[in-house]
Amino acid sequence: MNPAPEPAAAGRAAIDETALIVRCQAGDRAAFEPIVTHHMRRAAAFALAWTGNAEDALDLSQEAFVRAFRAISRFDPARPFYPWFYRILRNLCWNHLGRAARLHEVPLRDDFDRADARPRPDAQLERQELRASVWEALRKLKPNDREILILREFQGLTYAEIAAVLGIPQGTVMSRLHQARRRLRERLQPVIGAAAGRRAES
Amino acid sequence: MNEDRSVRISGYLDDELAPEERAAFERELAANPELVEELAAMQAMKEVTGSMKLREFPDQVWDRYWQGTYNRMERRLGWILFSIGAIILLAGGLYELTLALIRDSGEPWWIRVAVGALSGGLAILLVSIVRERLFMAKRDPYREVER
Repeated sequence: MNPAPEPAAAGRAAIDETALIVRCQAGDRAAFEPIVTHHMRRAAAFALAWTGNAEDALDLSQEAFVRAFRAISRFDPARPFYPWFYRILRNLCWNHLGRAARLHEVPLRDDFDRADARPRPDAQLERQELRASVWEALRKLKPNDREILILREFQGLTYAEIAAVLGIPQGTVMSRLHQARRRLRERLQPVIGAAAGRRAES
Repeated sequence: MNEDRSVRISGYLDDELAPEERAAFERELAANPELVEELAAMQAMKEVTGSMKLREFPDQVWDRYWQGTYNRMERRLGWILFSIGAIILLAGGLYELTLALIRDSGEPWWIRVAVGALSGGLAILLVSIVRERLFMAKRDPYREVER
């Protein structure tokens, strides 16, 4: 199998991560800024999908960066930063599950949230309920299933990128993702069936 | 249903199969109605999840993000220094108090024994914690991870 590439950095300016990490290892905190800025959106988005609370998501992702900087002397600068950092972030997120989480909201949106689309109020309500059902079903999955679904469905990572951040072979990504989808489908079956029925009626 | 075949449904829907794998899968689809059914069910679910995106943070969050992270890094250092100072003062104070009580025979014996035990106990706890931390820092492979 080909080595997995670093997750795509769409929309982010390229940075010389290796050189910056070497500077961080020498104690230069300013060198950590471009690294944080480069990865912050993706990190916070993962934490948001995990917690459903924007404040918690920012808190967890920032804490993960602080811990990464604290441990950076043990990091091999020749390796990509994000998969290593991601393991710190995901462990913080997993630990967060065990604590009393703050009130969460459904962190999902769809095209109806966009200003130019004006659906009927009942259709809007329907979509809102569907989003809530998807979010609830996701929350009830085991952490492993939930994680891989977030990475693929809501962060849009390719299998190679998921393999890189999770440190597993691409073939395992496909089977784990498939199992996770099956379990999500089991939970969503009534909702999807009802939505399809309504579509057929209209 | 054959598990391997079923797993490839995800690869097919995500366009992650190599061209030859895709062609082989499509041949299997043509010959296997059960597989077609499973694919349709997965596709329906994927359409639902695919139509949803994560909510976005307001832009101003990103303007303050680095500053917030930097402040945390700086405060962490502040807390470490504060804790070291507090521990030194506490340990030194207790040591001086113990010595003063031992020398001052005017105090009742039980107060001297209690303060001595308190100081000794705190010293043992402190040494034990420091030793454990040093041990973990050297050997724990997941040291950057909070449990």
